[in-house]
Amino acid sequence: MKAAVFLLAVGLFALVIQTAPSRSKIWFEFKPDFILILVVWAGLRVPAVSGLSFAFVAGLTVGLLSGAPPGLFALIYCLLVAACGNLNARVDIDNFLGRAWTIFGATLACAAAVLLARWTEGPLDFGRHAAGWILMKSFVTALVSLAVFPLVEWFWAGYSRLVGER
Amino acid sequence: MPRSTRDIALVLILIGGGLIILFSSSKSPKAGPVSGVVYSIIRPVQQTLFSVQTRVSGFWNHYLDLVKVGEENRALKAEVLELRREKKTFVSKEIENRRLKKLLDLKAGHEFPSLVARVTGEDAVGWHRTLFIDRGAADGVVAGMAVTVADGVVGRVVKSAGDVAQILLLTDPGLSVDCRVSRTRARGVLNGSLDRGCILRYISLGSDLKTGDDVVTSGLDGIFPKGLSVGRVESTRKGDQGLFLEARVIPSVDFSEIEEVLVILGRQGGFDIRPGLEGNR
Repeated sequence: MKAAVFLLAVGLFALVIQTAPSRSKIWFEFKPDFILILVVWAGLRVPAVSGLSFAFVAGLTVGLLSGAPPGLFALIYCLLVAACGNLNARVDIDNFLGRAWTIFGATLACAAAVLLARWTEGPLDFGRHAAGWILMKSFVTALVSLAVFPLVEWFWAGYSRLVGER
Repeated sequence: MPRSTRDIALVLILIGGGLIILFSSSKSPKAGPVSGVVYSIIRPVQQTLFSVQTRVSGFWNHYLDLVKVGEENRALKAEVLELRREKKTFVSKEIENRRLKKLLDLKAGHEFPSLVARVTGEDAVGWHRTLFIDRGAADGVVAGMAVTVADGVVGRVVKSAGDVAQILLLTDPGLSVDCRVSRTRARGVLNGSLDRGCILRYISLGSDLKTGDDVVTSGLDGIFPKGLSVGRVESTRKGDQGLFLEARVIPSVDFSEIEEVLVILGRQGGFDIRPGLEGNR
């Protein structure tokens, strides 16, 4: 419950930032996916039930606020939470570079799933340099996660001290 | 001699002396030698005193001025800040005014009913190119309606709810617009692409397509009215199969800077696309 409330508050904040109209071309083109960073954080830090619940709700909301088919992001995010938990149990990904690489991979996986879903709706040509754009966007998200992850940890520590262990 | 008698005598002597000097002094404007000696003794002292007094007074006035200047400075700084704030507000209002005026001109130029809407948000993730506006089904905005700004085509409404609608932007691969090259009148279909710009496809091989050519809507897709600016040709190449030409088009609209848009409330079912009626559209 404690983690769920925290994730809900931080997720809402991230969603507001992500959907606010930007006045920058670079931000418009390569906006990082803050929700995905939170999903990976949840996969590594909070109990599975809280993490999965957050991933599902966040995914549904993101689906509503993007052009994706409803439920697609909920599915992707839930799979990511489960994958992160499992991966961390086998390989230590919970370190500075490990987390960045995980987020880079997660963004690529997310892009692949979204574009595949789009392509199955009807053949689309995403452009000759689409792969480069996707890689760049994933790189930006991974890079931003290096700053966002410690920030979320800091908020989580403060929140935990405030509400106690339960 | 008692003390009181002595005091009275002294007072009388002094008064008497004063009266003698008063009545014995000449009316000549020239001062006497005694006066000259007195003056010459007093003058430097007077000058020094005057100079000191002037300096002290100047210093005091300067200090008072400084105190005033300090206060004035604070007041002026506050005023400058306030004026800067006001200027910013005026500039932003002026820019908004110009944008709205352009939109109103565009609205007046259209023969179709239209609606001004404000952009409230953008796609949450960015894998799709969408924007959200503050007008929706309650205002008569439905899916399929064209959205423009003064600079050109923005996109098409894909979803609408009570007072919100989602617009698929021109740069999204999911949007197709029937277009013409303004100079040659060559037709093609424009699609967005995830990388920079859009692609104009299916242009006849014989077309004389050049970099810098303007691309406008043809009006034949039943969504966008004819003649709206779409963008400018950046480069051309032969398509993959070699049957058509392709052109990379840079949109005329900067999507990151849109604040208000015009939704064209076209007839349900789109615009009349019967051949031969293009000119009426």
